[in-house]
Amino acid sequence: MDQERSAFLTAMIESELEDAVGKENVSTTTADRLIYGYDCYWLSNHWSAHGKTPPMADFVVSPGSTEEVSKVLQIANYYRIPVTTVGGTSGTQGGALPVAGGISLNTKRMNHIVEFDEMSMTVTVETGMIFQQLEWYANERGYTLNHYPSAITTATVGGFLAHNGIGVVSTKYGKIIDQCLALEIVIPSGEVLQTAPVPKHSSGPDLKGMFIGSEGTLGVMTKATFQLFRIPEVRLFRGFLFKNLTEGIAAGRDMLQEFKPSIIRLYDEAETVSIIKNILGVAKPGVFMNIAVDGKQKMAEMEMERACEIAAEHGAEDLGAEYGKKWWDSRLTFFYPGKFFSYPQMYGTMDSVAVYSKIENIYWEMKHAIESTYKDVRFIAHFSHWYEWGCMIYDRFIMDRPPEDPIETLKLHNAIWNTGVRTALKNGGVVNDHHGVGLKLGKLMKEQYGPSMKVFEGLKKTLDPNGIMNPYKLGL
Amino acid sequence: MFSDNAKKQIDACRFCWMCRHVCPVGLATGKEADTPRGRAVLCKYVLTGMDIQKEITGDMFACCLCNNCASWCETGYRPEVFIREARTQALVTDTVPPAVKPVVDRVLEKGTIYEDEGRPALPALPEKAKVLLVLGETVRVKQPGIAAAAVSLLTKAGVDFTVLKEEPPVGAMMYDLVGELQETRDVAAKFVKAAAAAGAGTIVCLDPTDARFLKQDCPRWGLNPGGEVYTATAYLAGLVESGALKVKKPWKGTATFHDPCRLARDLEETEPARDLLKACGAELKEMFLNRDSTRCCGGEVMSSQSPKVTALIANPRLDDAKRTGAELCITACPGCSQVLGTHGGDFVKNILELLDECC
Repeated sequence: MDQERSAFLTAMIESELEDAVGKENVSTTTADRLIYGYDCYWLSNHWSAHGKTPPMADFVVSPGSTEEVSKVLQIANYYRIPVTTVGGTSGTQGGALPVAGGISLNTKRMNHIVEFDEMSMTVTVETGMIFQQLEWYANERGYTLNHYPSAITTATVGGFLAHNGIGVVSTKYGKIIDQCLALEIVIPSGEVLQTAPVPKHSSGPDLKGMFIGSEGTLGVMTKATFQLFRIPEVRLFRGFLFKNLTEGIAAGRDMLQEFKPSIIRLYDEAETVSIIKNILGVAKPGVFMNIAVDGKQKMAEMEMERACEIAAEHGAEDLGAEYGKKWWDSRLTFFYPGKFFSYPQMYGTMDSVAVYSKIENIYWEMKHAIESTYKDVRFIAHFSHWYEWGCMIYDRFIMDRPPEDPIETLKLHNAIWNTGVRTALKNGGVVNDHHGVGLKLGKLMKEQYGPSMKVFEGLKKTLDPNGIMNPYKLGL
Repeated sequence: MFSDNAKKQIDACRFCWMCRHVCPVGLATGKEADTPRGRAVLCKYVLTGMDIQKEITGDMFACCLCNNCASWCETGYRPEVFIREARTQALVTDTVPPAVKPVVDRVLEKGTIYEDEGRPALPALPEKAKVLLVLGETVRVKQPGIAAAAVSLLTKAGVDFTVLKEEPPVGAMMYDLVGELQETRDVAAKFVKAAAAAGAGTIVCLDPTDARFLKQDCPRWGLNPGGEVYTATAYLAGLVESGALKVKKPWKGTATFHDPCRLARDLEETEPARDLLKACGAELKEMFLNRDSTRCCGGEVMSSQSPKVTALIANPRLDDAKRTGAELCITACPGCSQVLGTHGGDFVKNILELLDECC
C-alpha cells in the first residue's frame, strides 16, 4: 500500500518536473541514474569497480535555463526532495554524488555564452559549459581566461566555481574566485540572486564569495562573469635544482616579493628523482623547481633574469628551459588512462595550504604520519600555487596493492585521509586547498573551523531551510 | 558479447573524462550518456550483468563516430571500437531503438541507409579503365552534383576513368551503423568484387568514408578492391600539381574549409583540399578548430536516424564557419555537404563543384 502511494506521488512529481523542463529532459532510467553514480572520487570508482550499485538519484533533470532551474528548485523545495547539482562529474571529493537520492540536476544544457564584453575585458557564460569550450571561445578572439586546471577539458564552469578551483598559472592570475567577477544563483525558494557586477566594492560583505566554494549546498549557480586576459606574448620557462626544500621554498618566497611568476612548481626529493633523470639522464639528489614567467617579452625577460639571480642566491643549479616547455605542452598527458595512477592502486591528493613559516613542516609531518602509520603507503608532494606569504602543498599518498575486501579498503582509505588532513590541520594547514571538501572531507570541516562553522550553518539554514541542496556535503 | 579489445577500451574510458570537450553529441545534448566516458560506463554495467541493455542502445547509436575523442586520447584508446560493437549487440538482442530501427532494417536489406539507389545521369563511360571513380551512396542519392563535377574534372584532365554501371553500396555506412556483422562483410565483398572486376589500378573515392573503409577496414577482412585507393581531393590535387588539370577561371572569393572527420582524422589528410582551394584562387580563412581538431557536422548516418541532434551539432559548426567572415564554407565530403548544406544553404559548397567551375 505504501509503495503504491509512493509510486503515485513519484509519478506526480515526475510530471511536474517534465512540465518545468520538457519531457526529454527528465530521465528516470536506470542507465541515466547510474551514470551520475560515480565521479573522480577514488572511493566511488572503487565501489563501482567492485560491481556495487552506486548512489543514484531518482530523477536526472537537465534544465536549459535559469528559469527552468528555478522551477525545478521550487518543485524540489515543495516536496522536500534532495537536489545534487552535477556538471562534468570530474570532482575528486564526491561532491556531486547523489548520496541522498532525489534529483541529479545536470547543468550541461546551460552551455551558452551570454555576453562577451571586450571593452570591460569580461565574458559572461552559463555555468554548464565545459571550461575548455569557454577558453577556446576566448582564444579565438585573442583572449584567455588563464585558468588551466587538469580538469579543463572535462569540468564545467559551475564545477570549478562550486569547489573554488585553481589552475596551473594561478600564482600570477589567481584562483577562480579571483577571476570570477559576478554570479547568478538560484536558491531553493526559486528566487534568482545576482551579485554586484563590478570589480570590487564596499557594499557589504562579498556576496559572491559566499557561493564560490559552497559546493551546491546553498543553491545552483547559473551564470558567471569572468575576467579576460590578453594572450601573453611569451611564456618563458626555467628549471632549477635546489639542495633541499628549505632553499627551494625560500627562493619561491623571495621571487614573490618582487614579481609574480605564472608558474612555480617545487617537487620534493621523491618526485624530483624521475624528473632529474629525464633532464640530465642521470640521478642527482635535490629538489626540482620549474618556473614560468609570462606577458610582454621585455618584462618577462627581466623577471626571468631576476628569477635566475634569486635561485642562484639560494644555491640552485640552473637546468635551462627545455623541461618546462615540454612539461607545459604535455601537462594534461599525465591524466590519461595508463599515464596516471590507476585502479586498483589507491591514491589521493591531500592538497593543503599554509604560510611560509609552516608549510615545510606540514610536509614533513604529513609524510611521517602517513608513511609511519600505514604499511606500503608512500607519500610524494610538490608545491605548486604560491602567494606572497605562503604556498600550497600538493601531496599524494599511493598504495599499489590495497586490500581485496572493498569495505576494508574503504575504511583504510578514510583512515589515511583522516591522518593526513588532521596532521595538516594540527600544523597550521587547512582541510583542502583547491579540490574542495565534498563527501570525503565534510566530517573534518568542524575540526578546522570550530565555532566558526556556525556562519556556514546559519547561511545554509537561511537559504535552504529544508536542507534539500546537496545533503551530506561540506559538513553541512 | 564484447571483444577483448572492446573491453580494454571500456575499462580505460569509463575512468577517463579527458575528451568530453570535443564530443559533438555530448556537447549538443548535455547528456552524460552521450559522452565517450558515459557510454563506456554503461557498457561496463551491461558487462557486469546489469539489466540495462534496452536503455542504453539509444546512447550507443547517438554517436557520430567522428573519432575526435580518439584523436585527443594521449594513450591511444578508441571508443568507436566498443560503440560499434554495442550497436551490433543491439541488433543481436533485438533492442535497436524505434527511431533507429527503420534505418537499420533498410541497411540490412539494401546495404545502404537510403531508400533510393540513386543513379545519377552520367555520360557513357568505358567498362574498364585505368581509374575507377567510386561515387558512394551519398553522392548517388543526395549529392549528384558532386558526381557530375568529378566526371567533368577527370574528363578535362584527360584521365582514363570509369564508374561502375550498377555501383553497389560500399558498406562503409553500414559498418558505421551496425558494426562488423557478416552482412557488412558480405556487402563490402560484393563491392570489392565489382571494383576489382573493373580492372583499374587506381580507385578514387568521392566520399572519404568510403576511402577510409576500403583502405583501413576491408584489408582486415581480406578484401582488396584491386587498386590503390585515393581520396578525390588527394587525386585531384595531384592532377593540378602535374598540370593535367588547369584553373582557367579563378574564383577570387574568400572561403573557409571544413575538414571532414574521416579525411582529417582517420586518413590524416588535411592539405590537398586547401591546395585545391588556393589553386582556385580563393583566399582561405581558417576556422579556429581546423585540420585534425575539426568539429564534426553530425554526418549522414546520424542524420538518417536523429535529425534533431544532427541539427544541434551542424549549426554550431556553421557558426564557426560564418565567424571567419568567409563567403563560402567549402568541404570535401558528400556527407558534410549534405548535412551542412541542409542547414547552411548556398553558404556550403563541395570543393569539387568549385574546382569544376574554375577549370
